[in-house]
Order: sequence, then C-alpha cells, then structure tokens
Amino acid sequence: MCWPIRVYELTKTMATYRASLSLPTAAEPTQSHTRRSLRAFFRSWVNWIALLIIVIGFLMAITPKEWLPHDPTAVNPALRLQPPSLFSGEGDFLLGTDTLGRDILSRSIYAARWTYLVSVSAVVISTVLGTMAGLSAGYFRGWLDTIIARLIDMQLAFPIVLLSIAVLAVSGPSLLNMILVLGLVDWARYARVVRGSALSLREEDFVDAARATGATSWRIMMRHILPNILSSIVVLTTFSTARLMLTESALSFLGLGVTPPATTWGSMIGGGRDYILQAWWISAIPGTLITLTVLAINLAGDGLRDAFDPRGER
Amino acid sequence: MFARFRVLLVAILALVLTAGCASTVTPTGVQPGDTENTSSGVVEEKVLVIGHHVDPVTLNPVTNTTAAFQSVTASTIEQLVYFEPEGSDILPGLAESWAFSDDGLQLTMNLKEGVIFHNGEEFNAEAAKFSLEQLKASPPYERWTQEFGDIEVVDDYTVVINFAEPTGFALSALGRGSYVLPPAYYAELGAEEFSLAPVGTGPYQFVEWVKDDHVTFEAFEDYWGGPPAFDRIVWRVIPEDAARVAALQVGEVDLITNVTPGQANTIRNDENLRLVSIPGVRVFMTYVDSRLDHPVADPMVRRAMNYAVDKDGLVALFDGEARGLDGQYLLPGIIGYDETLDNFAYNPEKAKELLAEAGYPDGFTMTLKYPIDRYPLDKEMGETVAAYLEAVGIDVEQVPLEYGEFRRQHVEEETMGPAWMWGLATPSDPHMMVSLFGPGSIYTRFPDDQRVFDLIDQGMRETDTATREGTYKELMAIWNEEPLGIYMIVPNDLYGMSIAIENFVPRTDQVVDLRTTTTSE
Repeated sequence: MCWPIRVYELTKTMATYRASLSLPTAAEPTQSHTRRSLRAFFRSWVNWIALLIIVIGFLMAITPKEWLPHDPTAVNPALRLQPPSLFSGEGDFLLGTDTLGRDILSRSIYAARWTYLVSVSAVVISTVLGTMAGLSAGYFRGWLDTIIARLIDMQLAFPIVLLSIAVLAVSGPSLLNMILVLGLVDWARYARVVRGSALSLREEDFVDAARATGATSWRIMMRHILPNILSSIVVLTTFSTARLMLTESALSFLGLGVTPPATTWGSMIGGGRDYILQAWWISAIPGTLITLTVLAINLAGDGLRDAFDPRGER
Repeated sequence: MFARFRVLLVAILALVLTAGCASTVTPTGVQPGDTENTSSGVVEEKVLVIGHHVDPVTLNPVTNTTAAFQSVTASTIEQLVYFEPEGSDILPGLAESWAFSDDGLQLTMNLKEGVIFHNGEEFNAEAAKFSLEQLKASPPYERWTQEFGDIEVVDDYTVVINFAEPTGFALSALGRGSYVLPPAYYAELGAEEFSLAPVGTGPYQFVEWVKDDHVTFEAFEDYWGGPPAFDRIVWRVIPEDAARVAALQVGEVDLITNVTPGQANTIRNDENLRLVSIPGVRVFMTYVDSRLDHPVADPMVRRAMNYAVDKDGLVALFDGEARGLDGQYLLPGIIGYDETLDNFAYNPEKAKELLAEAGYPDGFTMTLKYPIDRYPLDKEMGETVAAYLEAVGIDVEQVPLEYGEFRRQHVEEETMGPAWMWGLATPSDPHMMVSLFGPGSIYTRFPDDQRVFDLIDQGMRETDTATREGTYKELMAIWNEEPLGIYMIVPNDLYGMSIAIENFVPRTDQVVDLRTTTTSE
C-alpha cells in the first residue's frame, strides 16, 4: 500500500539531485521557468502514471454513448443485480448490473462525462472568480482588500459540503445548479493564495517600472502580476479538481447530484447503498474509479507543485 | 506466578457457577408445597418487543388517520367493526352484527355483552354512541362521516346510526375509525390528555409512554376474549431502517415494522427470522394532467404509455414484493375490480403503433416529476418508468424532487406539468379510493367529466353490494379506456419477526393488530 509513496519520494529526491547536478549547463538563460518545470514534471514516472489515469478518464468521458457495450440508461429489471462476469465467468455483463438491471461497465464510462464535466466546470468558475477577487484585493489594497479578505474568511469558515447541501436543497438538484454551487463555494481558496502573492508582487521593482511607463492597473495585474502567480494557480487547480470531484460524489450520494438519466460515479455509489451486502459491485466499481481518479489528480498536483517549486530546481 | 493465578481463576469460576446454580434453585426449593405457584414462578415473563419505525405523535387513535400511530394502540383500543385483514369486507368487532334499513337511512348495530374497559367502565350502547360521536367530530374523518346523522340508543346493547342520505361506504368508515372509547374517562380527560394515557377494551392495557423511546402495555386479565398471550408488549422506536433490522437479528426486538425492500433478503436469509408481507394500500401511478395542451391529453397516447411500461419489471424492482395494477385503480378483492379489463400487458411494439396512430410517430417531450427518499424505491421507480417511456420514443425529462417540494407543487401550483409519479394511500373501500378523483379534488387532473363524477356519487349512495360493484366496474371501464395515467404497482408492506412469533396477521390497512398474536416460546 505505501511503497509507491516511498518510491515516489525517492524519485523526487533523485530528480532534485539530478537537477542540481545538471544545473550549471542545463539552465540556459533562454529556457523559461515553465518549460524547465514541465521537464522536471515529466522526469517522474509517478507523474506519468497519474497523467495516464487522468487521460483514460478523459477518454471515457468523451466516448459516445453508442460505442458502449450496453445502453447505459435502458433498464431491464429482470436482469437486475447480476454479478460481474469478470469474476463469476457467466452472464454478458463484465462488471455486473445495478438495481435497475443496467450495465455497470457502460454506466461507469457514461458517468465519467458528468463527473468530469461537473468538477472541471466548477473549477473553472472558482478559478476565474477567486483569481479576480484575489488579484484586485492584493493589488488595490485599502477598503476593497478589507472587504474581500473578510469575505474569504467567511467563505473558508463555512464547510463546503454543508453549504452545498443547503443551497441544492433549496434550488433543487440539477447539473447546472451543482456546477454553480461547487464553483461559487470554492473561490476563496484561490482568492487567498492569489491575494497573498499579489500583495508581495505589487511592491516589486518591475511593477513600479510598469507603473512608471504609464501601464493601467488592469494591464499590470494581467501582464505583470498574474503570470508570476500562474504556477501556484495551476497547482491549486489540480487539487481543487480532485476535491470537488469528491464533494460532487458526496452530494450525489446524498441524492443532490445531477438528475437522471445523467449520472455520476457518486450517484452510482448512492444507488447501490441499500444493496451493499447483496451486490457490492454496484457501489464498489464507481468507488474504485473515484479513488483512482482523485488519487491520480492529487499525484499530478503534487508533481506539478514540486516541479514548479523554485527551491526544487537548485 | 502463573500457577497461583490459575488457582485464583478456578476459585472465581467455581464461586460464579455455584452462585448461578443457587439463584435458579431457590424459587422452586422455597415453595415445595405450592404447586400452582411453582409452575408460574419458573415461567418467565412473556414480553413482545416491537421495533417500530416511527414515534407516535398521539396515542388517541380517533384524532388521526395515521396507521403507524394507531398500530401502537390497536391492541388496547378496539373497534366496533373491522376491515378484513386483506380486502374490503367488514368483520365484527365489539359490534356483533348489523343491518341497514330498507331505505338505507338507518344502520342498526348489535353490541357484544360483558365487555369492560381497563378502568372498570362497562361497554354498552351509551359507550358506543359516545365513541361514534367522537368519530363524527374528528376532522380527519369528516370527509367519510359527513352523512352521519343522529346516533340513537335503542337498548343497552343496540345502537342505531341515522344517515342524511343512503351511504354505501358507511361500514368502511366505521371499519377505519370506529374506536371504542370509555365515555366517563374520555370526557373527564379530553382528547389531548387521553392521548397520554389511553384506555380501551383490548387485551393489553397502557402502562407508560416515554417519548421517542418506547410505549409499554401489560396484559389485561379481564379481557373478554380470554387471557392475553403476552404479559407485556413494548413498542420501541427505532427510526433508522438498518438499525431496526439489526435489532431484530440480534434478538433485541421480536417484530419489526416497515422493512424496506432492500433489506427483505437479509431477513429471508436468516433462519431465525421470518418475513411476512401483505399487499399495501399505496397505489403507485404515473399521473398525467390531461387538461393541458399536450399529447398526454389524448387517451390513445395514455394507453400507449401504459403498454410501454412493464409492470412485471417494476414488481421485480421489489424482489416480487409488490403487485402490478391491472389497468385500473382498484385491486383484486375490492368491490368494483374487473378482471375482464385490458391489463395493458407490456407491449412496447403496440405502444409505438398507438403513438404513431395518435399522430406522434417520433414521440414527444414531457417532464416527469417524482419524489425521492419518501417511499421505498421511489427514485428507482421514477427512473425505470422514464427509461421505459424513452424506449418507445417519448423524450422524458426527469425532475426528481424532495418530497416537501413535490407536495408543495402538487398542492399550490395549478399543474404539475404533463406527468408525475407518486403513490396515494386510502382505506381499501372503492368509494374512499375513487373519491380521490371527485369534482374539485386536488387529485382530479383531468377535464371535468360528468359521467365520472356521477358514477362516483352514485357509488357513494348505494348500500347494496351488487349494485355498488356494477357502478364501480363501469367507472373502471371508463378509466381503462381513458387512463388516469400509467397504472403501475402496489408495493407490499413487509414485516420481519422472530420465528417464535405465531399468528401474526398483517393487515392491508397497515394497522398492526396484535390481539391474536402468540409465541411458541
């Protein structure tokens, strides 16, 4: 269970070591920080595996409904709770069927699109919102900063799941509501990080220089401050995707998720809740998929963070 | 070190064993001469513990119609007449026989003699009259007792109910709510106070009620039906479904109510437990609003939708613990059920043909609303119906709603949209069932149809069973030709119990009546 982590640590150390050895020749002045970081990222095989799992998930998400072995939404109660033929060797459902007799394999693939859609869209919303809020707070300071910083504190003090349940219970479960709720509750994490960085960056000489040449505040924020924070945002984004995927699963498990026939891995787990002792595969298979995907995204996030960390390069 | 420890252990064990023996030996040893006492002294108290799914809000059965509350006092407060356990016939209770006058305006009831209440009051015609007056005055029963007029005491054991109009379902109203109350005690305490310390004529009398925890009853030795089978009955409140089954498995409780379909197999597979089921009263349908300008307004489309949905498939969702409706609102065993009607056996091809014939060869779009987490498998049923309709080309947009919101929309908004799925529960009397769809009812979501309203009214006024049957069959035929929606299923009510529990009779009306229940232990 824990050897991959140890190997991963080792790999990381070696990568750092190798990087430090090759620094004098490899670090040419023309090579950008981003390119160097990406190169460091791809030096680790753990990152490759994580990326592979994420890419497989994306491929599942874009697989057309018609290509799936069975229709993921057609019910057949006569064939409900069939065990996976993968283990039992009988039946034509590789991963078994659920409580309504739908093929778990087809549904797992079909659910990937909604699972990814919800978490990725929510992350996009929260990234944009959080970055804008954090940038303006950190750059303009003053009363705007006071207000935004207090808002961030308030938002962070509120448990995400609780807030989402409350909002979804009132607005009713739907795909759009789910995306909006998750996107709107997660902005504070970005805002806090971005605000901190912007606060220190705005005192830098190159910002003063830009201001002296008459650049507008917008231009300074976008062209001079934002690029310097981008790597932290990217790292934060990966962790956020994983976390929102879990939150989405939790909400779907509670029945607050997307509306049928759309489904997510979380709602598949919820659907098998009452049958866990009779038919473990209904919940276990989407559960495994969530675990693998979240683990992969987290590992990729870890890898990105290490790769972008300037201290790691030297 | 170890040796000494072992000696100590043996000594303790010996002490425990002898002490244990001593305590079991003493009672028989002390009273060697008294044979009667010896036998009863050895037999331990017989206690029946029920794991109930809800804490009763009140123990006064006449102020509400909630079977889950009334179950708790069903073996304490008896009724004049009862519904038969499964069906719509009426069986005697504390009224031994009855007869309608020829004009149908009077019902004469002959009462059982020699019945006393737990507090010593005597049951007679005055008590019956008092009880019927409480029923008449009770708001939840009003819609069924509004035709009830004066109640007369003829002699000590005969009572007559007068009606404003001939009332065919009067006995059903009595079967549902003719609770026999002690007049002096009830009048002194009032309905509210009575709920805290109910008194009746049943085999088990009230002991205590600890809110959200348990209600205890003990045997009433002077019961007219002979000595009760149990010394005590304890209703324990266990709201969590899984916890109730677990309590039954470990023997903490002997009988549980409201077993969910998902847990039925757990009980079935346990050799110490037994699963008992009975068709329930909640009729699940996908209703349509045929007043709307929408394809569902066409009866042919509605018939097509009925052919599209596999009732057997829905029954399979419940592991067989449900029964499909036969193209009509009434169930077999209820007056007016017609087995000759088209039961809309699953036939997606015919559904497509009918849709094409009605002018929708490519189907149409409709929303389907359904409540979630309210009834067992409600979400699954909604998804299944939607999938069946999708299969014949109808594009269904599913709208699962939290029950409170579903209910609010149903009550407050003009329309639920073209289609919604849920279950309505009524006593198994044809009038009580079909009058849901009477004129002005919130459940009536079809254009006013005088034929239908006349038949409902006519059925209400008939006291002769054969004529009643003809009326309701006529109504069922209309609703078969022009369906109210998609006729789906009635899930069974499930009870789990230890195999030692015998003679438990489940009832369609969901009231748990333990008067005849015994134990083999």
